[in-house]
Amino acid sequence: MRKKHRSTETRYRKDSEVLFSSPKNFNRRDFLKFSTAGVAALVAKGLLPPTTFLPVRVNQAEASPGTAQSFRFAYISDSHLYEKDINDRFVRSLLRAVDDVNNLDPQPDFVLYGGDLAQLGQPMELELGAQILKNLKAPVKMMVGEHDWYLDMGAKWRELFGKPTYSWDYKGIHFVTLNSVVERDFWTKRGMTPMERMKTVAGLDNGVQSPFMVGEEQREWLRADLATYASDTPIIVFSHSPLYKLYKSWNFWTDDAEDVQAILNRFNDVVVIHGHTHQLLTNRIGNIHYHGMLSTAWPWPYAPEGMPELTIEMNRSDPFNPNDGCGDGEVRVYTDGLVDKVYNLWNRNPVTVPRAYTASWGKEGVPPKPNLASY
Amino acid sequence: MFSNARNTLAALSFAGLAIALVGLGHGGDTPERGKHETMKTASETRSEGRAVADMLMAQWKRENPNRDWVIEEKERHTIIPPADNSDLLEGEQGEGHAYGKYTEQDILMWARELEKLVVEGSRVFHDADLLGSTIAVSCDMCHPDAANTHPETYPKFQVQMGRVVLL
Repeated sequence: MRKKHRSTETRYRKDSEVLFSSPKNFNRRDFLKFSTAGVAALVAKGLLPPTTFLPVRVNQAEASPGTAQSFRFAYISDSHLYEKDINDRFVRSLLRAVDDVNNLDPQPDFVLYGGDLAQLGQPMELELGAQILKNLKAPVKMMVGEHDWYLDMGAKWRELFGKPTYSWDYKGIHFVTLNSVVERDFWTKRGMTPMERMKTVAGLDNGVQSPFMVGEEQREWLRADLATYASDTPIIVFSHSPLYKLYKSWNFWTDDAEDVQAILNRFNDVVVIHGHTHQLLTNRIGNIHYHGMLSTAWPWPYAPEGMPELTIEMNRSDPFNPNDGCGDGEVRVYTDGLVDKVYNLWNRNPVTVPRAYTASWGKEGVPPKPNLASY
Repeated sequence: MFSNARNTLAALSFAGLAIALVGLGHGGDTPERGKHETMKTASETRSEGRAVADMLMAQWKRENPNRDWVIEEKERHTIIPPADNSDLLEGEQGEGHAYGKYTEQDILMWARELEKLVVEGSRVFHDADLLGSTIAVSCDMCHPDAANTHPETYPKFQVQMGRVVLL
């Protein structure tokens, strides 16, 4: 009897049926084993014609050296917590950010908390924050902000979270966390109480306080910490204030930024992730790529002067929506230490500032510009 | 009201100081004092007077912790000074306006009162308690140096609220 003709489609369906009908209840790993090894065996035995159902091996897009994504971490920053009975809005916002991060699948390798957990550095505020952050599934790396520090000069914060200055190595990247909110003593001469000092620092436009700085002691520590690392080691630095001079009146500023930059200059590429500015903020100075973080509490306006050219400003946040301009985000780290910076804005589409954008000095990977004007 | 209270306190304090100084100045003439301290030098009298004055001033300062509120607020935050209206004193005056001639005192008074008003506004802007906030949030927390405040005119239809807002 003459063999009945079967079309390619028919043979494909028949072959795939044979292939997948018998093995039931496969888990993902078994399925993958079966679909490659099993099919290869069938083909070798001539039971399965090579022209029909074959798993196609997709060639991975070959990443150029240094540009393959290595891992990612999430961030939450600037929650400015009061005690719950005074203001529960900021508490709810931090809880929302924790939910955001816990819902990431797969989970980030760790979560950076970017400083200003408390509003007035009070023990109740810091303890509340610590309690909320304990709900995060991923490990947390803490950074200090000025609102956490100037009531008791960091005593409670250190008790809860340890040293504010530390470093560690992870998947080929050297991470450094600094306390960049050191201020010169403006309070002793004025006879201020601890709360007066705290409230002075808490006011962004309060001209009595001094500019932020990293200070000689930490710069010396940083020099020693980096001394043993080769210049091609990828470095990522966490600092609360931007490690450059943007706008002094609001302390969007680090007074000894040039000294810190000089320590980092010998490395090929350095990324600085900072809080404090509560907005989309991108900059590059030489080999150092800067990314800001969003606040969960409120957005700041952009500085009236000195804005970095690479920053694509978000338009004015809606004053009738307390969550607009706020959010959290994640950082995708590449093997060369450069990053995609994701701003997860709660009331808007997320904005990604891709690695290529700062790497090309703004020529490639330009993030979307808002239709509306900035401030 | 605030200004009146301050002025009253200041007047009382200076009155007290004056009484104390007068008392010291005439102390040598009293029979009691004359018996035991007949030969006080002028510098001794002056230093005693200063000590009393300092004591009174310190007491007043303790009782009035916000005594330097204008100076302190101007140190903390940028306050734009009142405009210079001294040109009003020049040239022909008195014709075409209701209040006759401006005097130098008018100009100074206007500048001083306006500045006090602005400084008090700055205090309220930066203080959640003075503002009367129920959630401890002050204006400057989102609007440093009053940035991004977008002054607008009302009444108008507010899209976000879906109705005409009077404000």
